[in-house]
Amino acid sequence: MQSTMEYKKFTILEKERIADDTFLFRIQGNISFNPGQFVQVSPPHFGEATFAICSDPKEKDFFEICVRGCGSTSDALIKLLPEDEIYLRGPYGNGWPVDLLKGREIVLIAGGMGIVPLRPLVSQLLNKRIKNVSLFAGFKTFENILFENDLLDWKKKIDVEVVAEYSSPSFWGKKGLITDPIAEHHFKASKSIILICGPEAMCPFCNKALSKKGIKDDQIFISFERRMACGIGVCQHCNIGKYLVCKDGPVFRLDQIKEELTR
Amino acid sequence: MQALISKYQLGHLFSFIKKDYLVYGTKRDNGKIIFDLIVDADEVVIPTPKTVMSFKKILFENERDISEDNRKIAFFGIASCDALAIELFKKEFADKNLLAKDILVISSECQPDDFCFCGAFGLKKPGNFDIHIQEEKSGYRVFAGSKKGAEILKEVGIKTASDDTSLKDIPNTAKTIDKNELSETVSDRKNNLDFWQGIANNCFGCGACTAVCPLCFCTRQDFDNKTDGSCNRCLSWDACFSKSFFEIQNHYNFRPEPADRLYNWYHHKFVRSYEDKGHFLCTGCGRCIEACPAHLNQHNIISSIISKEEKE
Repeated sequence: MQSTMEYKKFTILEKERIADDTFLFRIQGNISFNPGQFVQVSPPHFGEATFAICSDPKEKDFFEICVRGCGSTSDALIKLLPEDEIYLRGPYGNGWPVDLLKGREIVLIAGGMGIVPLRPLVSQLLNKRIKNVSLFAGFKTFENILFENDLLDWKKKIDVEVVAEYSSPSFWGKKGLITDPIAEHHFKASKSIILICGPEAMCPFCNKALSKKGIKDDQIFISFERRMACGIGVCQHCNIGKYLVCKDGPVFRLDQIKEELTR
Repeated sequence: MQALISKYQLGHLFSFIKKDYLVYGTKRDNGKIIFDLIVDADEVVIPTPKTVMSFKKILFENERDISEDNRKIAFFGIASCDALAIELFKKEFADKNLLAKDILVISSECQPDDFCFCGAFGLKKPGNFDIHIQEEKSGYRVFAGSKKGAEILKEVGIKTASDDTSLKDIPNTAKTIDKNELSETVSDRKNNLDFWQGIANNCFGCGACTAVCPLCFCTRQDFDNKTDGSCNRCLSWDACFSKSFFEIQNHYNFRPEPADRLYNWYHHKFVRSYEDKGHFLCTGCGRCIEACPAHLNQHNIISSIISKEEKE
């Protein structure tokens, strides 16, 4: 983890619209990162926001960030075009507990934009030819599924379940909520390890569904989203109880963070 | 190590330090007591009364840019609680490259007011200074607290002795609070919901306490665009009492209620920092009590949450 706030300048290579208001930026340059780590991104002279890197960590020539325009900074970011400059600092945070995944049944649960920090992990696992992976991705509408091509591609190699709350008969996935595939899945109890990223409101429902399946809190890892201004543990915007999401997170084990969430 | 010196020699010491350092301290300005740049030794007020703003406005100023700080700063004539606060500030910002590297602390005998409660945290003797100045009947007694301080005194030619029994106690009568007990009690929010709600009901959420507190350093990043096209990225003081502090995209707020944010302030000061770094982010200077427009008394609040717990 870095402890400075120095920016580096990068150039945007490509920009792709992957949903209504969501864009994927491919950026020239190399950032060495662990899946689940995040960067602070700033369009020139304007604000700063936190994004997870979502490309395959083994790519050394470029990396990708996924931006949904829903605030002043992200709205400015999605107006940028290829060849524009962009400022970045990081990566910060701990990332997913990659070392603990060996020999476990890995279940990844993504809600909406939560697929973004999980994408590099899936790429990494597939690179290592680890097959014991299930990915449950839930979206609001079937039209705004992020990384649809990737999901279809992954579906050939690992167990992928995609659900959308508002579906259509032409949709290749299922209609429903993210808790549905959890309820249908046969977990290998103590061998399972669950990684969750999604809206905070989604997590309690997932945790409940998982505990019904006999999954304990120390098997569940959640990546949290908070407002961040510094990324190095100074500004205190991102605290969850005694933890700071930038310094101690963003990925926390549920049993460690559960008490703190009430504070 | 100590020596008795005259006012003239104190001026000599001041001039010596001023050669190398930017000297800030407590001074009188048109009848007001302020914390600012000192140019003459006559301006120094000893014993030192409390200023509204502390050393924070110099050491970690509002809207500071993110480059390294190469200033050499001396704080001449600050109270012992502030000397301790500087020490804690340095601990909090270790390895962050945001504070001046050379900070000289010349503390002085303090002049407590009604709001001081440093005794609550067991601050009995002055400490954390490079040099300490104490007023005596026939001059000033000077103590060296560090190698750097001793060297300066030696070069100025002030004699140093080797016992500090004449170091006066800090005159504060606040009842000592057990740190572990306070930390544990504050961390238990669930059983004290009514207590915190009761305080939040009286709090305006103005953030005055965060502005004057020497150990409140929450920041946000601001971007200062200039007409010539350049842009200056800076850190501005932020108040965790403001609603936008915990807000993310789509106006989703992680601490929507005033009670949530008020609790967070106490949690940061008495739990988070204590578990993480082993100290409270409060020295009992009492500035927050003086500044609060709602007349909340932070000393009473932390004392009463403990006595409440004991009663139950």
